[in-house]
Amino acid sequence: MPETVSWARTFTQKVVLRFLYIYSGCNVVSTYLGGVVFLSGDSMQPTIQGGDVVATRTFRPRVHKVEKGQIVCVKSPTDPGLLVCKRVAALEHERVGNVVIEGHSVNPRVAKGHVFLLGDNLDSSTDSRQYGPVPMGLIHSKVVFRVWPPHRIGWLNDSA
Amino acid sequence: MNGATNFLKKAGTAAGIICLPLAFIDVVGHPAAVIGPSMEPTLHGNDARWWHNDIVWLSKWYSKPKPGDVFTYISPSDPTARHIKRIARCSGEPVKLKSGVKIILAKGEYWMLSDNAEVGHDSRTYGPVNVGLFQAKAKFVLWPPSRFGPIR
Repeated sequence: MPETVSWARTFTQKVVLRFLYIYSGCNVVSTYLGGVVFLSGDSMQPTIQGGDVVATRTFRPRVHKVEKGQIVCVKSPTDPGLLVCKRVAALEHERVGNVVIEGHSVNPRVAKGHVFLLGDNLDSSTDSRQYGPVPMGLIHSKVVFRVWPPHRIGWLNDSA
Repeated sequence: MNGATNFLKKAGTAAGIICLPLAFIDVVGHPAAVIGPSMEPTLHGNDARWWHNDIVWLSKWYSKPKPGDVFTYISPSDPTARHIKRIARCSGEPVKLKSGVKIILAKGEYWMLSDNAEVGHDSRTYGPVNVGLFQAKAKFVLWPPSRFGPIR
């Protein structure tokens, strides 16, 4: 009897421990390295189509720099649970260039610590024109490579 | 074959063991030393030697932020900096910006203020802080023992 009990206990210990190792491993990989993201919507057409799956590199502000033209995933300023995927149109202290915000054509300057995001498909994108420049602390990751669909596998992030 | 499997097992376990505390920090919380006097008298951080300053427990497990809570967040003006301040106002409430303009905080925005009002860069400097920037809730003072206890 005692032997069965201790076998079950060691087994549970092993399972629990292995689960913890795997969970922590996944957590560390996604926090420090990157991940795979399924994208939906058409705000980044034609660069990215809805249904594309991309590999991302997690953005770490102390290590990486943001460059203009990069495609990034950021935590949505209006809905913290969501990730939105847009292109960096302007960096801090830069002027955006002429954009239409609330019906007016303006050329705003981006505040310190922020970036201005635009979707490639301007007609169908909710971006910094609606919610303003986004603090860099909200940038989650940089989109690096498309892994799906197979006929369009390839690198992303060369400024289009 | 056995040697290779053994090595992989050991490597996997080693990787797992290293990842456990890293994931714990990310999922549960971690201690941190306070830097700067902006949260005096609640938190003391004014000694240049970080080990003389208060050490707090930053928890990643927290209920919806509300006024009075002390949170750490990524600074809106410097993404490499972490600030620790108290929530003064939540979304839906009015605040007055540095420019004098009065606004109502949007959904997901918080107005953060230093307990030590004269010093400290807070929302009076850089405006409302988006909840997506929040990192952890400061729940306890761990050190020094004389001030050990929950942060109110």
